[in-house]
Amino acid sequence: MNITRRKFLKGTAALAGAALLSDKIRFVSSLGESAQGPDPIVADIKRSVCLMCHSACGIQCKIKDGVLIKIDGNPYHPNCAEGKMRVLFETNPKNVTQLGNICAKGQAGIKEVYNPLRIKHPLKRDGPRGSGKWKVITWEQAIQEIVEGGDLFGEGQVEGLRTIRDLSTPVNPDAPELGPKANQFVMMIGRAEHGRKEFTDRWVRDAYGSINYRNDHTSICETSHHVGLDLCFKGKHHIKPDIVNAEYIIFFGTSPYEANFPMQALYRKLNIFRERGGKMVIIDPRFSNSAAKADTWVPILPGSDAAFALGMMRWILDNNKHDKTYLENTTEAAGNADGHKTYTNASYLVRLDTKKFLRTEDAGLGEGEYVVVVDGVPTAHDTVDRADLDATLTVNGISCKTGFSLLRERVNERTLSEYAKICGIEPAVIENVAKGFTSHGRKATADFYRGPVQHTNGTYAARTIAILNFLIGNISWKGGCEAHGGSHWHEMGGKAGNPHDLKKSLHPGKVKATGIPIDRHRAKYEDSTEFKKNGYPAKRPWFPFAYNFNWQEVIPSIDAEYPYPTKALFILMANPVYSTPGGTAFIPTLMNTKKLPLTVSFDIYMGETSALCDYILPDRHYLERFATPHVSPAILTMTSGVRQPVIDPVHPDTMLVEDVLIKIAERMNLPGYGNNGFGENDPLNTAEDWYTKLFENIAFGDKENNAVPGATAAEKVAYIRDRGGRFENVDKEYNGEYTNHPYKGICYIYHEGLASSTDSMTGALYDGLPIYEPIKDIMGNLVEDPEYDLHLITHKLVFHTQSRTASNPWLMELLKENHAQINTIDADSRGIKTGDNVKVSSATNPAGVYGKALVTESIRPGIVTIPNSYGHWEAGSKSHSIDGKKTKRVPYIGKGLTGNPIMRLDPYLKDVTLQDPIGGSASFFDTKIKIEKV
Amino acid sequence: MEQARANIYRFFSTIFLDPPDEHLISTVFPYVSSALQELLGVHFSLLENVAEIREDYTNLFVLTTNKYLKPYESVYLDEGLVRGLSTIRVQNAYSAAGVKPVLSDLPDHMGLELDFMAYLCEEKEQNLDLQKQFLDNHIRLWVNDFCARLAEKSDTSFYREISSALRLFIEYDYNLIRELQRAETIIA
Repeated sequence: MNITRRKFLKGTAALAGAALLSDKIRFVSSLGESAQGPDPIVADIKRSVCLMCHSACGIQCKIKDGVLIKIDGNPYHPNCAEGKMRVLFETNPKNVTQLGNICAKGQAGIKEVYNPLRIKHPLKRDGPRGSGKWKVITWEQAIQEIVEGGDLFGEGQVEGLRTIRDLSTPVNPDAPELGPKANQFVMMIGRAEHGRKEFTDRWVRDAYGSINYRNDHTSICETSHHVGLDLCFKGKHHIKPDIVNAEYIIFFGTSPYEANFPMQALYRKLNIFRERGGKMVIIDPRFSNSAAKADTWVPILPGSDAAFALGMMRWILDNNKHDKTYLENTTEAAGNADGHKTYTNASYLVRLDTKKFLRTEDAGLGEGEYVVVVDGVPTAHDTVDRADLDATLTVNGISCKTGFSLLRERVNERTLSEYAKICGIEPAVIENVAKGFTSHGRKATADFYRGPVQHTNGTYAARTIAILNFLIGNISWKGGCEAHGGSHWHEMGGKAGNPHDLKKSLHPGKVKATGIPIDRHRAKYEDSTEFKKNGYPAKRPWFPFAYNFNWQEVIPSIDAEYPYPTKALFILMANPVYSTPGGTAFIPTLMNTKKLPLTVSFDIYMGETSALCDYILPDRHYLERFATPHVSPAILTMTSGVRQPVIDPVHPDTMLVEDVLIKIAERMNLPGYGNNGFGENDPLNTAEDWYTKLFENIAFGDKENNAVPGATAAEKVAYIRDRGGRFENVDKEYNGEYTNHPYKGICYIYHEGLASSTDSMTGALYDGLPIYEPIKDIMGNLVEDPEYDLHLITHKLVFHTQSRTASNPWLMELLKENHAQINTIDADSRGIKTGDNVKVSSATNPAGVYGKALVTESIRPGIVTIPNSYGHWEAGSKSHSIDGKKTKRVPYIGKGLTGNPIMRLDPYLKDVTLQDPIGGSASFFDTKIKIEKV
Repeated sequence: MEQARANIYRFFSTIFLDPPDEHLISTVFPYVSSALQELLGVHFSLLENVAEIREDYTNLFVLTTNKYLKPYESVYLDEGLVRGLSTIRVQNAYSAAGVKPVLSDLPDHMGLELDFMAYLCEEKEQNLDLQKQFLDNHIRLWVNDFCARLAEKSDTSFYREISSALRLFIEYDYNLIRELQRAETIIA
C-alpha cells in the first residue's frame, strides 16, 4: 500500500464512519430532465441592434410564432461580451449557445414595439395646432397635401414642399450668401442613426436642395465634447480610456456605471479594471453609481472642470511630471522614432500679434511650415526631431513664444489654491489626483463626457481636460487614451473593396445645396452681408466651429426669421420642446402658423412636440427597421452593426421614414429616386434598396479581398445579417504596446484656428489654449442670479433614455416618480423632508415646476439634481381626440418633474438656453434655482 | 476512505456556503481539523468565537465590500466576471454526472464545486477518473488563487488557516486519487 493512502487511512479514521454534514448535501439528481438547459423555449433567433439608447449594442431576439418574446444581448457584438466570452465572427450562428449582456432598457424594447400608445395611422390636426384634435388620413392624402399644399386647415393657403423648393431665387436678394428659397424647408432629427442619417442627408441636401438637413440633437447631448476634441486631434473627436489595460482613470462629469456609451461595455470593462487594481476617480457634484465604485470622489462645483484640470497642470508643470521628451518631438516621424504614434505642436512658435503660428517664410527660413527653436535659434520644424519647449524670442521683428511657453504662462495665472477655490475643494485634492495621474506612466487617462461641456465654457473645458493626456503622452498606447477606436467598415462606400460609392456617385441629378443654415453652424459671420452692414454683434450668434449643428437655435431662429423665414419643418424622432433646456420657450413658435406654416412630425408616439404639429406620420419602431449603427471608441475592434426588422410591422398602416421620403421624392420627381434612382436600371424604390447597398459595402469590406464568406452578394449580406453585423475578432484589439487601430499624427496643444477666430457677438478672439472661463451669456457677461441660492444639475437614470422611455411600462415600474434630490443641510434649512411636495423655480421661470423632494447625502450641499425622463405632459399622459373618439390617458405616465422648463434662458437672447458659443452645446448645468416646500 | 474524503470536502464546502454555526465549530470542526493536522501538518488555533467567524464569513462571502472574495471560478479564470464560459463548463460537468445543485447560486461557486467532489466520493460506483477530471479542469485551476485571496482578505485566523489547509488538501487528495487509479490499473 502506498504512503499517501496509508497516511490518509490512519489520519482520517475518525471521519470514516458516517456522513458528518448530511444535511448539507447540495446536489440532487437531474436525470430525466431536459438537456436543453435553462431556456426551454424553442424560438427563432434574429439578431439586430438596439436603439433604446445610442450605445448600439447588439441584440438577439427570440421570435415565437411571429411574436417577439425576449430580447437578449448578441454574443457576437463587442458591446455585449468581453474577451473569450465573445463569439468569434466565423462561428456558425446555429452553434451559438451563449448570450451577450443587455441592459434593462434593451430588454424593455419589447414593451415599446408592442406599446398600445403607438400611433397607428397618419394623423392630421382637426382643429387649431395643439388642440389635441386629430383625424386619421391616408398616406396618399398626407403625401399629396404635404407636397402640393393648399388650404389644408381652413386657415388659408399653405405652401407645399413643391413650391418651397425653389433652387434659383435667393431667399434674400440683399444677402445672396444665404442661399436659395429651398432652404426654407428645415429638417430636425432627434436621434439620427447611421444609415438613416445618410439617407435623409441625401434626400434633404442632395435631392431637395436645402442646406437645412439633419439638424440633429447633438448640441443638447455633448457636442462641445466632440468639437473640443476636434480642436485637439486632426479629424477625430471622441476619446475613451483603454479601460481594461489602464491603471488610473479620471472621469470628469460622467458616470460610466449608469450613463455614457456604451454603458454596459464601459461598466463591464471597469469591473475588470477594478478587479486588476485600477484606480478610478469620479469628478461630479453628485455621488453617482460610479462614484460609489470609485477610489476617489471629487464633488467640484458645476462648471469648474477646466479649473480643476488647470490646477492639475499647475502641479504637473511645477513638479516636472510632464513627458518633456514627448512634447519636444516636432513631427510625426520624430514622435515615431520616440516610440509614439503621435506628437504635439507644443514646441511651435506662436506670433503674439496674430495669434497664429509663425511660418517659415515670416522667419526668413524659406519654404516650409512651422518654426521651432533649437538652442535659441529659430529653425524649420521639420528639419529637427526635437525643439525647445520654453522659448520667448523676436524673429524678424515678430514677438513669438512657443505654444508650451504660452501654456505655462496660462497655467501659472493662478495658484493651486486659487484653482481649488474655483472648484470649491481643498488644494490637496487636486494635488493628489495630479500625483495619481502622473504615477502610472502612459496607463492613465483623463476622460470626460457631458458634465464638463454642457456649459457656456464647454469647448474650453473639453480642450483643457484632453490636453492633460498630451502632457503624459498616453495617446494610442495600450492602457492609455484611445482617440480612434476600432471604427467600422464604410457603409457609404468609397474604399477600395466597397462595391457602391454612395458618397460620390450613385446619385444622378444630385443637387448642390448652398447657403447659410438656419442654425448658422459652421458659418462665419464675417463673410455675411449683415456683418458688412452692422458689424458686431450679430443679431443672433454664428457658430463657425460647431460642425455638429445647433439644435437649440433652430426654433428660436425660425421665430426670429433669422437669417431668413422658414416655411416648413419636418421633425423626426425628435422632441425639442421636452428635451431641450428651456424648450418650453419653443411652444409659441410651434403654435404660430405665420412663422411656421407647415409642420410634420415622424414619430411613434405622441411626444410633446409632435402634439403641436400639423401632421404626425407614424414611423416604424427600431425593431421593425434598418440601420448601420457604429460604436464608441471604447470598442477597440472594427464593428459595423446591422439593424434589421426582427418582426413584421406590428401596425401595417405605419411606414418607414425612408419609404415616405421616397414616395414624396417620386411625386416631386426629385433626382435620385425611382427605377433609375441609383443609375440606369438601378432602382431606389424602397428602404430595402438603400440598405442592401449599405449592407453590401459592409459585407465586402473596405479593402479588396476583404469580403465575408458567401458565393454571391446576397449570401454575403445574409452572412452579416445572421450575425447582427460584421465584427473583427477580439484578438485584434492590440498591436504590441499600442491599440490596433490607433490615432496617428498631431495633437493640438495650441489651436491657431480657434485663437484667430472672432466671436460673432462680442467681436473678441477665442482662446487657443486650455482656459477656465466662468459662466457667461452670449454677450460675454457673467450670469448671476443672486436671489436664487441653489445650483441645478441633471443626471440620467440607468434605466431611462432622455425623453423617449416615459411610456415604457417595464421601465416606469422601476421608479414611478423621480425627485428633486437635495442635500440634507439644504433640506433642513428649508424644512424639507423626503416626499414633500416642492416648487423649483429660476430667474427665467419663477412659476417653476412642481414635484417631490428626496433628501440625500449623495449630492454636494448647494446643488440640486433632477434626473431626466420624467415630468412629461404628453407621451400618453393626456387624452387626445382622434376622429371624435377620446384616447385614454395612461396614469403611470407624466409623474415626477423635469428641470428643462426652468433652465436659465440667455439674458440677452431671452428665447434660448445659455449656450457654448464655440461648440454650440446647450447649457444644462448653469441654472440657479430656489426650492420651496408647498 | 471515500466517506472520510466526502466529509472533508463537505466541511470545506459548508464553511464557504453557509454562515458557520455552533454545531459546525464545536462538533464537526474538531474531527476534521485533527484529521487535517495529521494529514497535512497544518495547525488550527481557533482564536475566534463563532460570532467573529460569522462576521468574517459575511465580509468574505456575502457583502460586496473590498473583502468580498467573489468565490466563482469564472471570476478567477474568465476576465474577472461572473457567469463566464467556466460557469457553463461547470454546469455541464454537473449535468454530465446527472446532478444539479439545489442552491440558488451560480454553479461555479467554490463551495458547490467542493460539494460536487463530496458527491462524487459518495457515489456507489467508483469514479476516480471523473474526480480527477473535475479537479484538473476546475478546482485545481483556481484553488491556489482563491486561497491566496482568502488568506489576504480574511480577518480571522480561522479562515486564514482554512485557506492553507484547503490548498494542501486538494494537492494531497489529487495525489491520493492518482495513487488509487494506479492501484486500480494494477488490479485490472
